[in-house]
Amino acid sequence: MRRTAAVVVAVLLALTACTGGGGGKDKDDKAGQSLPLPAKAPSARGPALGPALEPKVLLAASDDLEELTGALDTAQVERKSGAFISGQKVVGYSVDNISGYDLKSGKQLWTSKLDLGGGTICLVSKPDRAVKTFTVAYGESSYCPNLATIRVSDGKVVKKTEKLSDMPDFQGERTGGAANELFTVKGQDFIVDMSGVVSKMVKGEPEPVARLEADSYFTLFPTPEGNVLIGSRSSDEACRVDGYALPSFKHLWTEDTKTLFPDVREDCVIAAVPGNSAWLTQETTQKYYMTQVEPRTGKVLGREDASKDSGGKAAKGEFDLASASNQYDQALGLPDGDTVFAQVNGLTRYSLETGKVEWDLDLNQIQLDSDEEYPSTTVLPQGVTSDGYLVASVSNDTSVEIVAINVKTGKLAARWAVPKDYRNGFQVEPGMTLFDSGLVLTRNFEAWDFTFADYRGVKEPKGDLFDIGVFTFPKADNSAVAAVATSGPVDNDAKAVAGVKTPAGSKEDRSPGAISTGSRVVAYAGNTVTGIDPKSGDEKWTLKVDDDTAARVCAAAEPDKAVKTFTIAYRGGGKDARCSTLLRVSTSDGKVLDRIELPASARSVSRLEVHDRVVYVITGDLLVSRIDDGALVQQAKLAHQPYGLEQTPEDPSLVITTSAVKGGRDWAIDAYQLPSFKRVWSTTGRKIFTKIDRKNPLFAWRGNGLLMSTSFGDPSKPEAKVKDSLVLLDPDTGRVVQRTGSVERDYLADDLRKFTLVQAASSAYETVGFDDGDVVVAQSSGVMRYSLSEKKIRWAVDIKSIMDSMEQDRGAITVTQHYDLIDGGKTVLVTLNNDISVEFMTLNASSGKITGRWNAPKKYRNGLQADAAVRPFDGGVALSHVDYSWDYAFRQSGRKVPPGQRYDVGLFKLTKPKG
Amino acid sequence: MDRRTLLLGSAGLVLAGCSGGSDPKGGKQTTSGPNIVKPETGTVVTEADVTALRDRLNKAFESKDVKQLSGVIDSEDFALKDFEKRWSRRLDNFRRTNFLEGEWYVGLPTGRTRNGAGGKVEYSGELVFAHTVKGCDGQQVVENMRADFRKKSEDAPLELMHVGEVDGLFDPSFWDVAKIDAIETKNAWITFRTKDAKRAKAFASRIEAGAKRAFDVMPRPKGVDKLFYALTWPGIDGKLWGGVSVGEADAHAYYHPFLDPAELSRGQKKVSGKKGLPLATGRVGLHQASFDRDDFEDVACHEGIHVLADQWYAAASETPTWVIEGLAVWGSTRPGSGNLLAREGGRIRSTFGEFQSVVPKGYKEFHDSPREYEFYQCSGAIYEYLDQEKGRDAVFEVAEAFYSTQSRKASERKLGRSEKDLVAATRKWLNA
Repeated sequence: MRRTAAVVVAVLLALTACTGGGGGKDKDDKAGQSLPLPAKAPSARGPALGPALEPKVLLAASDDLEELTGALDTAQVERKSGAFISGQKVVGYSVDNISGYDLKSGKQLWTSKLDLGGGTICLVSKPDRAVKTFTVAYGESSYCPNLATIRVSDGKVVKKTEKLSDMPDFQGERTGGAANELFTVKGQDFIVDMSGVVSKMVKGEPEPVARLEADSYFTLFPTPEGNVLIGSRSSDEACRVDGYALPSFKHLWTEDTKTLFPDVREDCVIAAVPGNSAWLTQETTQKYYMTQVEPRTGKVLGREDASKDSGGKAAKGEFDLASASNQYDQALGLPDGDTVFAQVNGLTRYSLETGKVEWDLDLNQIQLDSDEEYPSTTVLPQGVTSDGYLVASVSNDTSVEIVAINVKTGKLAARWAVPKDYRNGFQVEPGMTLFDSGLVLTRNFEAWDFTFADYRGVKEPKGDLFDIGVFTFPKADNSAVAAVATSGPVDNDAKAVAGVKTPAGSKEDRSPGAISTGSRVVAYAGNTVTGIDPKSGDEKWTLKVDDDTAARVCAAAEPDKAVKTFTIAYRGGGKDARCSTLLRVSTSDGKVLDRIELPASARSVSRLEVHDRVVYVITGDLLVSRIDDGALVQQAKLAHQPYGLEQTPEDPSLVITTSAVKGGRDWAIDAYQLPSFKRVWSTTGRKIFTKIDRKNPLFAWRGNGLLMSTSFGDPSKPEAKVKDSLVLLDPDTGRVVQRTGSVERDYLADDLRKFTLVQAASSAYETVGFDDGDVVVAQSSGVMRYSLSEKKIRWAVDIKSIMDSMEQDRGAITVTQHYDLIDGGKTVLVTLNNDISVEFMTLNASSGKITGRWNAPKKYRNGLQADAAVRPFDGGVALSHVDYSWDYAFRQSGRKVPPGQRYDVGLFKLTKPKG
Repeated sequence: MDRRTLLLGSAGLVLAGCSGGSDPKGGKQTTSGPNIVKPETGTVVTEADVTALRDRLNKAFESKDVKQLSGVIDSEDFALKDFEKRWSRRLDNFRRTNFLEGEWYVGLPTGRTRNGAGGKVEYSGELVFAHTVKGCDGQQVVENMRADFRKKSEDAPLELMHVGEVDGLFDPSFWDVAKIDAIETKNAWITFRTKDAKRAKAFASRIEAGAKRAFDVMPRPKGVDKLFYALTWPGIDGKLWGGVSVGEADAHAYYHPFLDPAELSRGQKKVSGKKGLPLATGRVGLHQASFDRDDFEDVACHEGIHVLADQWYAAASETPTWVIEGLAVWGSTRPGSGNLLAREGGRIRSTFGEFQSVVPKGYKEFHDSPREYEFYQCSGAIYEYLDQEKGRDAVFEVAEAFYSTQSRKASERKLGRSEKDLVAATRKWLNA
């Protein structure tokens, strides 16, 4: 049975105002910067561990004040925020508040008295070095005719001017009435007005110095080096793109769509990537196009295109141009011309010039807590520190964390949560400005308003709300984590002690398996059986069941106590071979003690059952026999051909069989007492469930054969109403002692405070049970011990984070849980697999507490990662390849089998962590 | 009958639309708290400021003194003269007629209402004047206008800088277009230009009789005991309250939806659907031509029925023309008297087949046909059939079902009977 654990962490595209840029940072300013990275790189899976960012100073949001009358959305107020660093001060602005803060003490130094007349801030200087004054352009509804110059030291408004509104002539033509852009080049501010006139701010007044080739630009951004300005003209039939030298604003080059995008025949709209304006993008109805130009000449360096529907399908290490183009406004350019793109799975550093992916980092398993049912996570590359780390925000509308990535290698170097009490305002695609020892987060009002717009039904997070937050990086906490992690990934491998290798190139089903006899783990695959000492991992013996390499072990039963001999059945390699040869084998040396051929009338071995060390052979003629003196001794006959045969911890001497009768319109349920196999009671599906739906089988649960479930309705039809029903039978009489009644399926139910039948019933074959009738079942996001007789949840443990943190690939992911009881019933061993990786976990059977976690080592799990059969042994667990699930996970899905040795059987030791 | 009675049921008021629009588990937090800085409040417009301004407006309105009212507005408002002109006429009319009660609503801003630095704040928003004509309106009738507001400093009051034109959907009111006077009768307010006083007095008893007949026939909307009639003249025939003069109608019932004034002040045109209260009302414009008609009293009654039927009128309802006109035709023929079929039976029977094909169609097919008059009568015959065969309650059940639902399909569902079936049954009953 498979259980689906939804693992969805989508990286969304959205417009954002990201600050930072990585390029053009003054080296002198950042000389002291060195990120306090942890000694050991963090995992990109699970929640952020270790210390969170340390808040120094925060500016509370003014939303409440702005909404004392009316509402911000109906009032159509344009709000902006941002920050820049000047020496040891940060200047932060939001709506109409401009304040200076001390980076070291976190003190607010001043709030500017600039009166915006009820307007709001439009543009503010973005110096990359210490400056004495800065410029603010302000106005209403993005019309920004007013300029003010403010002193950094004390916030004093040293000059206000409305000169832009005067529209004086420049070079014989008028200048424009309001500011469209504000660029700060080497500490000097320049305004570009609505007529495309560039004015230098001199003593607080705009002085025209140049006229751009066009009045208005669709995009106009400096390159990451900061020495060229590249703009794509708006309302231009040829879609010309202009390059200008900075800070002179001297025209360098003009190119048009024919040169830049010769393959685009449709109407053109060229946009420059804001984070790297030497990268130009364009899209048609079918495709996305990208072109990289040499910034100073406009010469095309590289060009690529991709079909629009190819987004999100790239394999790891391949550039996904479609999703990069889709999210071009979130990319971050690096001074060497490369660009880091937020993609569907994380971040990719790419060069169009070389066509090479420098690195590709998946971040889609980062776990952020969320108030939303289906949260989407957005990764924004924000800037690069002087010591070479790309800093990105990872946010999901509820919470936010910051990650640092080695910009050269793409390796994740650090993760810091933004503390819960101080993150409100920054969890929606925040702006970021880096400084030596920390960063400033600013609220992205545009994304905020979009995210929490009334019609979307997503509520703003509760608690104090902030517009600006100055945070410092915490000291790394390199102390070892003592307790077993109850969330996120596990950093602890089980020890692979032995394995049966799959022969190179083998494509056939080798029907592997394993049983534990106490002193040995007996592993089999193909025609060979191997006796392994589970302590040392040594192979003690091997046995070829038959010379025919196509012979296969077809039945084996796990002994219920330590034994000196074990019994298996095999079938020969011939086309019509039956499972008809029984071998009794010595566990110590693998010698065959008895070889018994079934008579033709017995057809084949249906099943081997063990009770009190005695092996019972159930054959196709429904006979139950013992092996005595090298021969089968008939003991009983079953009433029906068993579809299911299970035991119950409530009475270990009872075997319960289920068999479809009357063409599936009813089920015969028989209980046999061991060792006699005498039938002690019988009942039917109709009796215990009132009715039977022919489309749905009746299951006796593996964990307790007295638990029976069935369904009503057609589960293959998505709209059909399907109901499940579960009953518990009395071990003595077969009468129903408790029932759930028919419960309508709720596939989306995800609440560990409630028992959800559909998920439990789906795990019927994986369950384990206890002598009190309790059973351990799977639920959507965890494991539950449940008592049907008392209708009580004994415990439930949430392992969603653990399941979501397992190593995975970019394909569809399903996590399967399997349970076994070990330590004499005191511990539940949970084996998780998702077709890519395997994890083991132990739970205290009485409390549900997680007591141990191990990964199956990557090197030894190949072949065993797709729903392998699990067989615990003392101190460890054996996994056996299951061809059916392997076929599903790899051949049918088209997923590539990982390179490296494959295993038919693997033995893993689970050593308790110290402390 | 040679003369054709063209009485239109509904004015051109259109509603613009009703809708309003676990912390990462490993994340260890710092022990010492950060410095939390609160932004300065500055100048902020509060609800108290808005209430104070509204109170000033209402007080000024109560005084009926235009200087007091215009005194609430900034003396430098370029449109102040227009405002004074409109309101001096209005207040003069209201004072004289004493039929109207009104109050102001100050709407929500479109623009920022705060200046963090403590300087002035200016913004635009809606201003709503809501009124009731005594006895005529179950709820307030509204009109809105754009306005500009200002608060000069933290402690200053909210001021009205400018009041713009009234939204064309509600403009002009009868009291905006002339010096008017009114005669109050038991069942009507009869309003008229002072220079038409003679005519008004001459026709008052017939208007009152028509109004009384309308009330006698129709269910009475809660809180309503009068109908409002205005004696108009060619210059404004059909053009009051956002109306567009259509065809050669001799009278006109102007539809007035009861838009929630508080919502309207937020820029939302939303019908106030308070339980038990009428959804809309109407004002009757009696055109000059109507006074020459022999059946003037029927005309007054016919339009009065339109107004009373508006109590069920859901905004944006696709009420079929036959439903509206048929009710007024039937209601103004003294139901129960058999007058309709006695006078018009021949025409009805000879046209009913054609009428049946026009029923499912629109306004144009009904009104632009050369058989428009006959269609009016056929429409009335449906109600006559219901009245005769199913009883009076069935008449209003059908009318309400079609008036109060958004589509014909919804009406049929509400009624449990198809429109087609209803018309076919009428035809059978008529032996047409």
